[in-house]
Amino acid sequence: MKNLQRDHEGRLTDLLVVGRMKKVRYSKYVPDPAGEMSMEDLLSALSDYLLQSGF
Amino acid sequence: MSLPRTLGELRRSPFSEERLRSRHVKDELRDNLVPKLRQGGPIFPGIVGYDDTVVPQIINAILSRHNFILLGLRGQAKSRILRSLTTLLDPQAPYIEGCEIHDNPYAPICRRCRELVAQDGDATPISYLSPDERYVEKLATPDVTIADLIGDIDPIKAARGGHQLSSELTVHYGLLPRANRGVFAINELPDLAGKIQVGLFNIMQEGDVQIKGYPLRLPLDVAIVFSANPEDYTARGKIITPLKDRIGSEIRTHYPATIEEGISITAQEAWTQRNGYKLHVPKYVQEVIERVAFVAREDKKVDKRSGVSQRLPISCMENVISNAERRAIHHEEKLVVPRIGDVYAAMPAITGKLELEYEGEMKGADNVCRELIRMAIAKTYDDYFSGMNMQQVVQWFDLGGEIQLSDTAGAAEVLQALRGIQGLMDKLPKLAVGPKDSSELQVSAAEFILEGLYAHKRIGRSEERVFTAGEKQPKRPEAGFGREEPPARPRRPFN
Repeated sequence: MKNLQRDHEGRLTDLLVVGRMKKVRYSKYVPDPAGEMSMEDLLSALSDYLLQSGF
Repeated sequence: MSLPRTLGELRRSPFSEERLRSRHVKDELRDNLVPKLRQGGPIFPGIVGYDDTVVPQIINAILSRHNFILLGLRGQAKSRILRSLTTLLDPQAPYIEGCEIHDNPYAPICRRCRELVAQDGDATPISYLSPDERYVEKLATPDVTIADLIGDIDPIKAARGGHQLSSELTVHYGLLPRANRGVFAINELPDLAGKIQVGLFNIMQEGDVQIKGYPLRLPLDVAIVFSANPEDYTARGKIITPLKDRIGSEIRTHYPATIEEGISITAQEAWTQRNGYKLHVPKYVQEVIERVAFVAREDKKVDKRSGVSQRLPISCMENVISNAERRAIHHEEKLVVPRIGDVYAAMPAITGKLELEYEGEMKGADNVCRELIRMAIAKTYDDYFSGMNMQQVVQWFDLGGEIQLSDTAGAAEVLQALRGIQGLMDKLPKLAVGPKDSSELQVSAAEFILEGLYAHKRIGRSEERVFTAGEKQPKRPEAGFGREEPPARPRRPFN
């Protein structure tokens, strides 16, 4: 099957596409503070402050 | 030895009247249990982790001749225990041939058999029931009726036989009378409508019931056992308390207490012995799979009232092996060795078995599942590598090293890539894997270390879907989707 497809980086390719393959990439750890924050933990941490502020 | 075929022969056989007339099914269960206890073997083969908790309570209930209920969350082997009660029944139980409710030849309770014995006497024909035929199970649902469970008046029977509608001979028996002289199990008891629960306790207590307003005396000989979710089994739930009062023993089941118990159950239940390929499931993979269930049972994003069934690690194990098998088939490998990546591939076997709380729903089942797998890997990794210096491996990534692995890539190919990571292969002996072991084993072990480091946030991990190409075509100018773009015209210069 010959197909014009865009690859994972958005480039247009004219490769003979035989399927999509899942790949796992291991690399340097880059912390993501927003992604690791739990809403529940955040709220419990801020609860005293919010109560004192009269919120 | 041929079995007696008439009532007369039966009287002269070991199935004598003295022995059988007053021997109820609960006596029979008790009589067969006592020698097993004396022998000291397992009472319920295949039931793991209940030896000190649930099994002694069931034994006490049977010795007490109680009807009993097993209370527990999903996937705690409740139904399996109830089904194994048949191992405590006699190999053959004689009954009057043709009787719908398997009447005791010496004490028939249905009118048809009473009349037959009066008419034929010692020539009354006798048949036998096997233990499996004496076990009736019903999953309770709100639409179960008295007719399903106890019986109904059958007008056609009345018309054909020329009987009054009120005659006992017009009754079409339900499941409970058909379980006479056996074990009747009702799963999820509180789901039965209140009226049916009342009918049940009438039968259990008084031995009589009303069908369409006609009173019917049915002194059935049944061991009734139940299972239920503990949440529903309260007055606030859907149970009728007078019925609750008449159930002799209430026994709580539980999930496996240790990872080892869970692994034993999964190893026993999962379909792992597949023809064609040699399979080796590393211990750490078994532990990760089992820990997913353990972690999920503790996680606040997972609904604790629903529980996390032991079927989760069982199905997960089957899917993990299948993913490894798929890879082995593709690369014509002789040895199937699951990797940690296969646990992620087994998410379809996990997500459906988790009931999520609101916070979990917000995150999405897939994300919750990934998080559970990550936590399970982290705990398992700690068991093997706690305190071990992994700085060399981490440093390789910190200095910009990257590795991309496909879950369908063959072991030889992946091993070559993994060998490029400094210090990684030196850690494998901790998992009892050495350089002389097969590439499948080495890859699986090395991937476990990488996944463990990721689970502890020491290296990064991302999943992506990439195109795979069969052959390269000669370079052509880029074209848009669907239509050919006209050749670019030279821009007309302004002015």
